[in-house]
Amino acid sequence: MTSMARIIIDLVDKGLRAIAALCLVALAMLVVFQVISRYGWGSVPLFTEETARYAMIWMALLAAAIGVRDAAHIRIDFVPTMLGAVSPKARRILEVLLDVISLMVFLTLIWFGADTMMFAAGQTSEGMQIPLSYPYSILPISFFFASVFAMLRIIAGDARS
Amino acid sequence: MTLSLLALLVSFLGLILVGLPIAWAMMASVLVWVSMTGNWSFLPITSERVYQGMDSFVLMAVPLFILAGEMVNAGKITDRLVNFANAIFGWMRGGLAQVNVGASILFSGITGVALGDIASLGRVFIPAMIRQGYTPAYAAAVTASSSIIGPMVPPSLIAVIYGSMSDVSIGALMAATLIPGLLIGVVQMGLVAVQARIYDFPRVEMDRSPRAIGRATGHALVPLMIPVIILTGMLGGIMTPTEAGGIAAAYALIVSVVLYRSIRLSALADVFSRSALFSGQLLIIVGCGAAFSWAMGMENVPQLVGATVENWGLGYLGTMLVFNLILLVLGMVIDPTTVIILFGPLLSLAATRAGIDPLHFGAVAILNLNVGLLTPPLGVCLFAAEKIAGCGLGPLLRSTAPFLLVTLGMLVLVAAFPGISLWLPGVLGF
Amino acid sequence: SQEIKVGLSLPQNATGFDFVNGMYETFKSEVEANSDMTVNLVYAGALGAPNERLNQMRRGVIQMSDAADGNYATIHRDIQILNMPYLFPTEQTAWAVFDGPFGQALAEDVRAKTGIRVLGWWESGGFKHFSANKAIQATADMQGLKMRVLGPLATIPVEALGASAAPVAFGELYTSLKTGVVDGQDNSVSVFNLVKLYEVQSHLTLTGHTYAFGPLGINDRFFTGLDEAKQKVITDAATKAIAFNRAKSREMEAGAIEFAKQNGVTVIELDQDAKAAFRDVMQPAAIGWLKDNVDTPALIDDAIRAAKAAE
Ligand code: NA
Ligand code: NA
Repeated sequence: MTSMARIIIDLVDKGLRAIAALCLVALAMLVVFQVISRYGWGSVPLFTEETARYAMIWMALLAAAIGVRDAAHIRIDFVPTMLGAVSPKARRILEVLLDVISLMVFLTLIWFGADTMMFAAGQTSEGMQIPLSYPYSILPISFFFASVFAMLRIIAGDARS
Repeated sequence: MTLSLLALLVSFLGLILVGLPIAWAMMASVLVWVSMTGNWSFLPITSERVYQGMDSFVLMAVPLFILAGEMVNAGKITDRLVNFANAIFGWMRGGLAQVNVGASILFSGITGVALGDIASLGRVFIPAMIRQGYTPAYAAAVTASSSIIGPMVPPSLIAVIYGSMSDVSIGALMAATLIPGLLIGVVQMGLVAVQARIYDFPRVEMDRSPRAIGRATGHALVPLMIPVIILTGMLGGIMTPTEAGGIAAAYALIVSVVLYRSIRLSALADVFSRSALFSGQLLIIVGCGAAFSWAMGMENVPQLVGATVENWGLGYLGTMLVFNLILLVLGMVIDPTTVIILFGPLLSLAATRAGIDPLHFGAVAILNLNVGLLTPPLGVCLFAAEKIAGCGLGPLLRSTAPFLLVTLGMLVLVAAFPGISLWLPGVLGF
Repeated sequence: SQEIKVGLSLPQNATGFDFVNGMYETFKSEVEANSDMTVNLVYAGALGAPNERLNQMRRGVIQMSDAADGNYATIHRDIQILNMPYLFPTEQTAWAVFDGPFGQALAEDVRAKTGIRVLGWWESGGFKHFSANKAIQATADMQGLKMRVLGPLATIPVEALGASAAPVAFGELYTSLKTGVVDGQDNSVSVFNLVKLYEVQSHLTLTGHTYAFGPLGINDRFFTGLDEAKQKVITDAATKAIAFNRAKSREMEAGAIEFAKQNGVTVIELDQDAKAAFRDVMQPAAIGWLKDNVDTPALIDDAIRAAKAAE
C-alpha cells in the first residue's frame, strides 16, 4: 500500500477514536448534569436524557467499527488458535474467510441501515424534536468504516493485534 | 421447530465456534435465517434492531461503570487495594493466597467484569505467589476462581444488561447477587485455609503495627468509596443506576486527576478512548443480539419454550434444576453476556410461569454463568490466568477443580434457598 | 390463507391487563371463527419495543401491534392533541369523540400519512392520575413535588403546576419511588397496580388529567389486499374487540381502585371545582406546546369543540 493511503487511513482511524471518546465524555457529562440539575433547580431539561442516549449509540457503533481494525471484538478464538498451532497458513485462510463473512454483514448493514435512516426521516424525537434520521445516520456511517477496515484486513492483512 | 429456526441456531453456533466475533455471528445467522424464510422485507428490521437494541437509558450504566473502573485503574489504585488486603488477610496461613481472594472481594466493588480483575490483580498476585513458592498452576487457579466475584458485586455489567432486557430492577439485581458473591469469596477463603494446613503455605511478612495498618486502610478508602457511592446512590434514593454510574465516574476522575494527580491529562484521553472501545464491544453484542432475539420472536420461540416448560410440569425445583443445567452448558461454550442477551428474558419468563421469582432467577442465572468462566472448554478466566502464569491448562484445571467444586456448591445453595439472594433486596425495599 | 402476526407488549395472562391482551384474543377468536385467516399473537415484547413494532407494522413485516398513543405520536404528531389534559370529562365522552366524525377523520389522516389503517380506538386503562406520598387535594399540593413523567406533553403541564419532572425508566419506577428519587408519578390505576406502586405510594388522587388510548391499527396494504368478505371479518372482529376492551377497562379500573385501597392506599376523589383548577393550569400549558409541535394546530380547537359537543 502506498504511504499516502497509509497516512489517510491512520488519520481516519485516529479521528474515529477521538469522536467515540468525545461521545463518552458527552454522555458522562450529560448524566452528571442530569443529577445536578435535578437537585440544583429541580427540573431536568428535556434534551439531556435523549442526547445522552444518542451519544452512547454513536459511541458504541463507532467503537464497533474501530474494533474491526483492532481485531478486538469478543470472540471464541479456540479454533483459530488450535489451527494456528498446526498450520499458520490454514489459520490465515480461516481468518480471511471470517473477515469476508464480517464484510458481508457490514455491507448489508450499510444498505439497510441507510434504508432505516430514510424511513425514520418522517419521525421526530421526543426530547429535541429533531428528525430521527439524524441519530440513525450513524448506522450506515459506522458500518461503512467497518467495511473499509475489514477490506484492509482481507487485502493487506492489516491488523493491529 | 421450523427449518429456518434450525438454520438460525445452527449457523450461529457454527460461526461462533470457528471464531467469528459474536456480534457478527449473530447478524450473519440472522441473514441466513432471512434467506431461509425468503422474506426479504425482514432485512431493514434487522438493521433497525441493532440500533434500537442499544437505545436504552439504563444501558448507559455500562459505559459509565467501565469508565469509572478504567479511571481508578489508570490512577494506580490496584497497589492500594493489594496493600489493604495484605493488612487484613495477610496474617492467615496461606496469606498471599488469602489476600488474592480478599483483594478480589475488594476489587469487585470497582470492576464490572471478571477479566478486569485478572488483568489488574492477576499481574500482581501470580508472580508474587510464584516467588513465595506456590506452584504457578495454583497461583493461576486462585486468581481465576476469585475473579468471578467481580461481576457478582456492584457495579456489575451483566446485571445492568440483564435488567435492561427484562423488567427486573437493576438495583434489585445487584443487591440480590451481592451476598452470593461475598459468600463465594468466603467459601473460597475457607478452601484456601484448609489447603494451607495440608500443604503448609507461608504467611505474608509485613509491618503489622496499628499505624501501618491504619495507613494501608486510609489509602484504600478512597477507591473503595466507588461501590459505596454506587450502592448508596442507588439504594438511598438519590439516583438511578445510570446516574450512579455517572457520579462514580466523576468521582474517579476527581480522585485520580485532582486529588492524587496520578493521571496526567494526556493519559486521560486514553482512558476515555479505551473505555469507549471496550463499552462498544459489549454494546454491539446487545444491539446485534436484539436482531437475533427478534428472529426468535418471529419464530415464536418464547411461546414454544414457555409451553414446553409448562408441559414438563416439573414444578419449582425441577424447573430450577433443568434451567441451571441449560445455563451451565450454555455458559461453558458462550460468554455470559451473550447467553443473558439471547436467553435471559426467554428463560426468565418461562421460569416465572413455573412459579420462580424473576429476581431470584436473575441472581441464579448470573451466578451460574459466571461459573462457566471457570470451566473448559471455553473458560475465558482460566485462559487469561494461564496466559499470565504460563502453567499449562492441564495443571491449571486440576488446581481449579476444588475451587470450582465449592463455587458450584454455593450455586446449588443459592438456587435451592431463595432467601440467600432475596433477603437483601427485601431489606432494602425492592 | 393469510396469517396476521400481532406484536404485543405484555406476557400472556398478565393479570389486570386483560383490556389489552384480551382485546387481541377476542380479535383472534372472531377472525379465526369466521374465516380461514390465522392470527398469531406474539407476546412479551418478543418483537421489540412498541415504537419498533409500529415500524414493523408500517413496513408490513407484521400486520398489527398494540402500540398506543405515545408511540403513534412519533409518526403522527396530531394524535398528541387527544392527550391534552382535561380534554374529556369522562371516558364515555372520549369514546363518543373517537367513534364520531372527529375520530374518523383522524383515522383517515393516519392511514394516508403512515400506511396504518385505524380500525377503531381502544382504551389503554383509562385516565391517568397523580399519586404521591402525600395527599394531593389541590394544585398547590403539587408545588415542589418531583414527578416521574415522560415526554414534553406530560412534563410541561406538570411543571406549570410547580412540580419538577424527571424521566425515569419504567423498570426503575418502583425503586425510584421507594427510595425517593422521585416523589410521585402519573399512570392509569391498572399500571399503578401492575408494578405494585401501592407499596410505595400512600395517596392516589383521581385527577384524571390525561386520557390514555390506542389506535387499533393494521397494515393498510395488507388490509386492502384482502377480499371484501375478509375485510368485513376483520372490521367486525375489531368492533367486537374494542367493545370488549372498553367494558373490560372500565371493569378493571373499578377493581383496581378497590385493590389499591385494600393495599393501604388513600384514594382521593376531586370535585368539579378542584378538577377545574387543575385544568386551568395544565391545559393552557399543554396547548402552548401543542401549537408549536403538531402539524395541524387547527385540530386543537376542533378537538375541544368535538369534546364539548359530545358531553
Ligand atoms: Na463488580
Ligand atoms: Na484474585
